[in-house]
Amino acid sequence: MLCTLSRGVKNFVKLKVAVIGGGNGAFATSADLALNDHDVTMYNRSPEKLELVHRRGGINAIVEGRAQFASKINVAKKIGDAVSGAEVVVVAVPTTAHAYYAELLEPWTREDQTILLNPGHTGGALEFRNCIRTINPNAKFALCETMTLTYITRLSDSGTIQIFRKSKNVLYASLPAGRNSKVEALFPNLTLARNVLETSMSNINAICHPPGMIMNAGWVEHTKGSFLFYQEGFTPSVARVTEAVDRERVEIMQKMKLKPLRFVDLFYSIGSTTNNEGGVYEAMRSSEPNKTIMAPASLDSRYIHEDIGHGLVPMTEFGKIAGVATPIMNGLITLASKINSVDYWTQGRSSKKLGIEGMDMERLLSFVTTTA
Amino acid sequence: MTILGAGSGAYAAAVDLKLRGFDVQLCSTFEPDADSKIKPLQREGGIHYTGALGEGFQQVRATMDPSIIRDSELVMIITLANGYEHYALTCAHLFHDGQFIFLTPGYIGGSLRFLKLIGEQGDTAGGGNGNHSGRVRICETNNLAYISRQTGPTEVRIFRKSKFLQLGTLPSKYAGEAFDVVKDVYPFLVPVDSVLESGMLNPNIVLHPAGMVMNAGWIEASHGGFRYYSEGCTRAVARVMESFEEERVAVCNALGIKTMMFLDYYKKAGYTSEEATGIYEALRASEPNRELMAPSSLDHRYLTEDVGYGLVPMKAISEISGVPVPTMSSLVHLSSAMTGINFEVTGLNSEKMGLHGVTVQGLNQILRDGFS
Repeated sequence: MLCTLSRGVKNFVKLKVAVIGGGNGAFATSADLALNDHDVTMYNRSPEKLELVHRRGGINAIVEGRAQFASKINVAKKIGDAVSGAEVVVVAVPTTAHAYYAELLEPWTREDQTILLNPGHTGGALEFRNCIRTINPNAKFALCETMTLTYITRLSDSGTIQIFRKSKNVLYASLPAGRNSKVEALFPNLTLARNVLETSMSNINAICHPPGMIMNAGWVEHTKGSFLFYQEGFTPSVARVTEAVDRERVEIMQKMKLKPLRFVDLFYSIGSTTNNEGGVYEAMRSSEPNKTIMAPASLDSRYIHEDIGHGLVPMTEFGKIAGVATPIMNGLITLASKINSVDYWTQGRSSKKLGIEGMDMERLLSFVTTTA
Repeated sequence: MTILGAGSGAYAAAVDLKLRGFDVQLCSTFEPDADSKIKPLQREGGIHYTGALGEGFQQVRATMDPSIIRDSELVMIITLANGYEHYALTCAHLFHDGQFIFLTPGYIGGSLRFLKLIGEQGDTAGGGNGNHSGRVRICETNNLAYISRQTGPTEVRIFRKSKFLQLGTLPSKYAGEAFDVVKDVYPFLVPVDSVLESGMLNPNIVLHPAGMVMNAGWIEASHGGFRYYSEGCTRAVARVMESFEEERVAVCNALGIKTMMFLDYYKKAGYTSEEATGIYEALRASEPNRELMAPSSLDHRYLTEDVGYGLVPMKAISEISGVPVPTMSSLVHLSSAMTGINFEVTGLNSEKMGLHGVTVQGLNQILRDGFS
């Protein structure tokens, strides 16, 4: 590690970073870190997603309105080439791919290496750790997750990454709990959470995407997503159900001895809305970064697979441990399962996949704090 | 014959029965109907009709005075589900021995509710002929015989008349007598073993809650600007309806209630093509439903009636059977969360049907003999 002055930042620490993934999160992370002078190498299981980066040697980015070229980004053909020298491995993939990448990364884990799931969403770190330790019970590595992606971003068809907003106040946590200075060096806007339960339960996508999709299922399917998901899709009734999901979430967090923020306050704190004085409806109306985002073109979407199967399902698992009834979350999961003919209860991130089967609250809390 | 009610179903029935030579009077005791329906009918002298029964005008007497019930052998009650309670409470003292009350449709549990309320009136009414519930025979159909819409204060458009309806009787030991009285009204009536058999085949419960929950955002954003069946009931929506159907049939099987598949009923009633292989195809091929627009808001009978007086009693009956009904429960909970109406409290729950704490044997006895 070199301590130099770079871009006027005192005590800048240049890190060697591997970024795993080929979509929005991976492109945004790579562009952002490279523009901040870190040494970035990308890897994705489908190499064609990174072909443009490989040819250009970097990524075209528009960061909060400013067009820039993030140069000197390497692309590795094999995962070992990306991670073997890296101090931090940022896994920026849909949370449904965590198990796959955990298996792929297991042989390369090192005690002095940090794996960061950006995002972890709900139960990312728990499942990741469970996968690795199932293969190798002695594997040692530092593991962290963020509650949501650290950017509001979209990748265009031409391979330009548009970063609408670098989210502020995004929560991150380590498993077991504690600070991670390398992660904080890469992402200075992060806020440390108490533990991965707090980050997992602060997954805002899992709270708002399911009602938005289930209660607009006909609209999505018939028009192939021809409406503005947040601006038009979040009508008063959809907002009410989002708030009902949120109440179940808050109750679970209280049983976890956490101090929960309402969805609207979380949404506000990361910069996704300018209005937290009302409810979800008002917050969505004032969501500038989400204003032009269209609904998915079909119900075969991460807004369901990820945000329900790997979002609401693990939340209900925590709910069972907490002794909290979750009829609204259950209702959304059941309807999603019928819609996509997938049993999300078992195919999603169950307590078995999280590695918390049979735990009561006391055991779960000590697991995420010290014993993981 | 008296028809209690002044909605589009009552208008359609009045026209239909008069065309076939029955002596029919329309009566309402709902205050708001006086100015909006009854007085216009009195001034006009009858009802203008268009659609499947042709176009024309039928003279129909209309009144706000329910004492005409005394002279009728048969009293047809054609109202929204919560209308029965109103008539049970206001007209109980007018019913006499040997009279048949014909609820069409009965919704599910309508007869049970009616009988319970009449019995309560008898016990507290003071004057009159003693225990009302002992002398009243109630029969109900599983659906309204018409697909119709009121097009003006004295106008109705009849899209389709049914070719098939089930008739249940409470107490079922009077089923033969009831059938003899009502069979001329609707020659296509088929008597079934109990009011639960007909009640469990209410098609609106299959079609409306799922479509409303899964299009709630579209409805509110567009004020019902799409065709409910031909655009809103997409494949995913139909999959949820199919799942609901499976649960409904499982409950019937567990309780020893004969039932037919919704699809077969819909074909028999003449509402769709014989070739339809599933609910999705049946709705797409349904000519009378093709142009029907979605409700312009969620404050609509597709929820207030079909959840409160459809899903809620059906779920209560399912609980007696012990069969798990996750799709049904999901639709009840989401309907409540999205409207802010606690349907399990405001709707036709176990307690209101007189079925609280009842076992399967107890249920069968009530269906056969009424309340003791």
